[in-house]
Amino acid sequence: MIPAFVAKMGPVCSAPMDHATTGMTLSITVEAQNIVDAITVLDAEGYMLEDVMASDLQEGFEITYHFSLLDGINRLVVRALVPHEAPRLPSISAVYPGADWHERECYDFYGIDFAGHPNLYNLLLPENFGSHPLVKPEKARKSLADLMPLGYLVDCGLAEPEAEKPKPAKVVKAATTEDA
Amino acid sequence: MTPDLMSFDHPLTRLVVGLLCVFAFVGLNGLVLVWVERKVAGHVQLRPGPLHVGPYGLLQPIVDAVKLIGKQLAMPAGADKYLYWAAPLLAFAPVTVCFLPLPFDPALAPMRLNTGLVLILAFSGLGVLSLILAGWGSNNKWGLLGAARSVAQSVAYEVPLLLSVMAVALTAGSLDLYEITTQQGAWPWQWYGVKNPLAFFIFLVCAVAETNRAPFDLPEAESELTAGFHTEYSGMGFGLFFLAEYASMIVVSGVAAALFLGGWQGPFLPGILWFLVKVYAILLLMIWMRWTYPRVRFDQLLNLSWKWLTPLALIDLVLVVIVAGFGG
Amino acid sequence: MQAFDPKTLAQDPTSVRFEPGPTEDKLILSMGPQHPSTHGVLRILLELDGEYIVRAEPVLGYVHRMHEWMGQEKTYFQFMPNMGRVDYLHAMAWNWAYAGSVERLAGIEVPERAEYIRVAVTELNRISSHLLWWGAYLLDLGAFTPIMYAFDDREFLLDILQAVTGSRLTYSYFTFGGVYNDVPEDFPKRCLDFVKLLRSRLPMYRDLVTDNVILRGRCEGIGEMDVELARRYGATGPVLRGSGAAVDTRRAEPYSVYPRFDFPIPSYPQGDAMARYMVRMDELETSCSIIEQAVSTMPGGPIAAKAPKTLKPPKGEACYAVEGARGKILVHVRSDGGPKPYRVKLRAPGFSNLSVFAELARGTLLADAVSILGSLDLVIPEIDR
Repeated sequence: MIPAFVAKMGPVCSAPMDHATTGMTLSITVEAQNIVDAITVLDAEGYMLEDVMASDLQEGFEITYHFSLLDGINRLVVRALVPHEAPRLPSISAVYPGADWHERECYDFYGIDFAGHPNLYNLLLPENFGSHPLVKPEKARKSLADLMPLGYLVDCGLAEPEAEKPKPAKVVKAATTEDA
Repeated sequence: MTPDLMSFDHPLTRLVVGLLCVFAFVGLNGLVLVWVERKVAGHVQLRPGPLHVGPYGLLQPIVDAVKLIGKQLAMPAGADKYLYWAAPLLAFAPVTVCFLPLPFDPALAPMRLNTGLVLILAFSGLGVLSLILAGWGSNNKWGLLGAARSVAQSVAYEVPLLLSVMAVALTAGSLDLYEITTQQGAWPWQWYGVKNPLAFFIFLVCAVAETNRAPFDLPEAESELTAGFHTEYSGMGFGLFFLAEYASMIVVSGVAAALFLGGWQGPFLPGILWFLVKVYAILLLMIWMRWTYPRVRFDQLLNLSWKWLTPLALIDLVLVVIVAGFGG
Repeated sequence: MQAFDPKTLAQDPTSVRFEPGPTEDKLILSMGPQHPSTHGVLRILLELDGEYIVRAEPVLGYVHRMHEWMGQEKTYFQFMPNMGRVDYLHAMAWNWAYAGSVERLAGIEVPERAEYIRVAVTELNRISSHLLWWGAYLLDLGAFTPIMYAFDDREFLLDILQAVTGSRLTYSYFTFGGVYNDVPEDFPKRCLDFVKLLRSRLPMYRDLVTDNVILRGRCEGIGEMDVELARRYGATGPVLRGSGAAVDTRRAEPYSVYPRFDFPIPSYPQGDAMARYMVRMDELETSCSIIEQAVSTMPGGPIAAKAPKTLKPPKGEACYAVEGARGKILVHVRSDGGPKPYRVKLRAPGFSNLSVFAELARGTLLADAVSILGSLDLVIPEIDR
């Protein structure tokens, strides 16, 4: 089931995921500009920022924030897409100070500019490294559709505000099988 | 037969011969102590220690010394040349002077001074100067921090050290180590260390701190300050600091033996042997402590001195005065 | 050769950025990358007021090897040995996190015996990691001897793991769907012998080291953090459990056969260096108990599922969280259906744990900073990846 706080995160697309096969329970896609608002909601819910991962796709850089509560099976990922030409999105390091280094790492490897980051310099690479090593060459990039398995049930809730209803059964089942 | 230093009539001849003897003694004992320390450390740490150079690794310190002497003497850019090189010499020289009033044996006191104790305290206080010079002169921030620590530390610990020594001097009514020794007997219950255990304890703690040994080795705390004041020293520059540390360990152990453990006096064995036995017993205690305890923190170190040892030493001194007043 | 110019040091961009600010009567000190207590090549820039730390900034990247790039360039199988090199002290957990995420992605079922073997070797490896941390931490605090005892115990452990995996440190023992080799016949006995040995040693460690008044003075009340701080920074593992939250991925997000074992999750509410110390010391006992249960109930059967020679998982993504010795290890793998992962993300627990350091160290003494740094249990290759 999609938790109630997702509705507070602003205009998002959410997709429940099967923990047994993906290790995640929920995928939330937000507009890059709204990331701070969305993540403030998660902070209020007591989520811990596990990791920030960026991937280079045809559509742009996808930044994936991994969150989970301290206890229990509840990993959710928040995704935001930024274009290759202007890889820029707000920094969440004011909400989660731990994101500071994760964002610097993304800056290292992809050149993503986190606006409002207090200290956006190279972290793992030398300052004069000159390039961003994980940026893929144009033809090696895959589109999001190539990386998503078929049957992802994405729910953008744009048309109907109360869109938490559909396909709750799947995730609940996954959680219970894991408990057993 | 033990040579009789007192047979040299002229004080200057006696001083020169005494100094030569002291240098030989310090050099030899420094080497032995290096071996002892490494061997004891080894056995404490479930390993054999030096093993291959000579029997039981006995020649290891000589090889170490040769290695140290053979090394290049490097000086960091921007260091003060004179201070930098004066420091190791200044560390080593005063310590050797401290040996002069030590009575190793009734016949083996290089120099009998009626203020021997004062001389030792004065010259061992000079040691800290060399640490400041080394830390400041080597133009290294770790060295500077180490030097700052050593100043605070030795100021803090000289006070209770002095007070505990004064307690003994008051009881004995003399500042001459020879005199103090002869006032004690051959048996433990006649020793000042047993009669006044508090002063002995305070002296031991302060002695460890004065010689910058673990758990009070803060000026050179290697896990914090890399090597503290001697971070930049190589070869014999470091070697002299090293030797000075061992020499001052022997000095404080010697003073402790003379003040608190009856010096050379003891049954059956010749005096010099008894003296060395007592000195090495204290040295072994210091080595044992070093390889057992973690290092204290700087503020804890100062707290220990100012809040515990100094008041305790004062109380002890007052008690000694009262007892001496009633007794005499 | 170019002559050494002290001015070039000031041109290091990190230092240049760090320098400005209210630096009157302040000392800027570069601790590391070659410092005895930064455990490898970590550099910490410190602004000191006397010996008090005003600001601290860790500088990373000295052993950065770009594992994530290698993950994209190597096939699934080829990347496995890298996992032994990310965190060289708890290589098994990294093995497991990667193998687990690929298994999830490819839908490979792991046979039961393999799960038990995985549990046993991972816990053995956890003990070896904690023992080494214990020795190294006390070395930081100026006690030279405990590390020798820790290594003495660890030697037996490494012998056992060598007999199983063929290597002593950088294991690459897991394969997709199981493990590479079956354990030798005497493995359960050796494990039980080791557990007995360690249990006979632990009381000595407690009496001689843990209860030492100097050690307590150096650890208690140092580097206090609460659960909220840990959550915001993403600190996990013993660091989180030392701040009072009894959270362990083995329980919170159960994987493998851990739910079948009965073990406590030690946690201490104080949040200081001593609490983290105690958590790790208790975890030695916890791991012993898990090993005992695992080797005594280990079923027979195959040690690995049949996985194709060239693994091509279907497109999609999966992550797998494992409780490593330093905290939650998370490996996220994205597949485009080809023989190589499209993206591999490694979440190193030490990375997040170290990021708290700047906060914890502020206002403490230099010696306390060393104590805090040690209590976070850092493995720099894992942080730099």
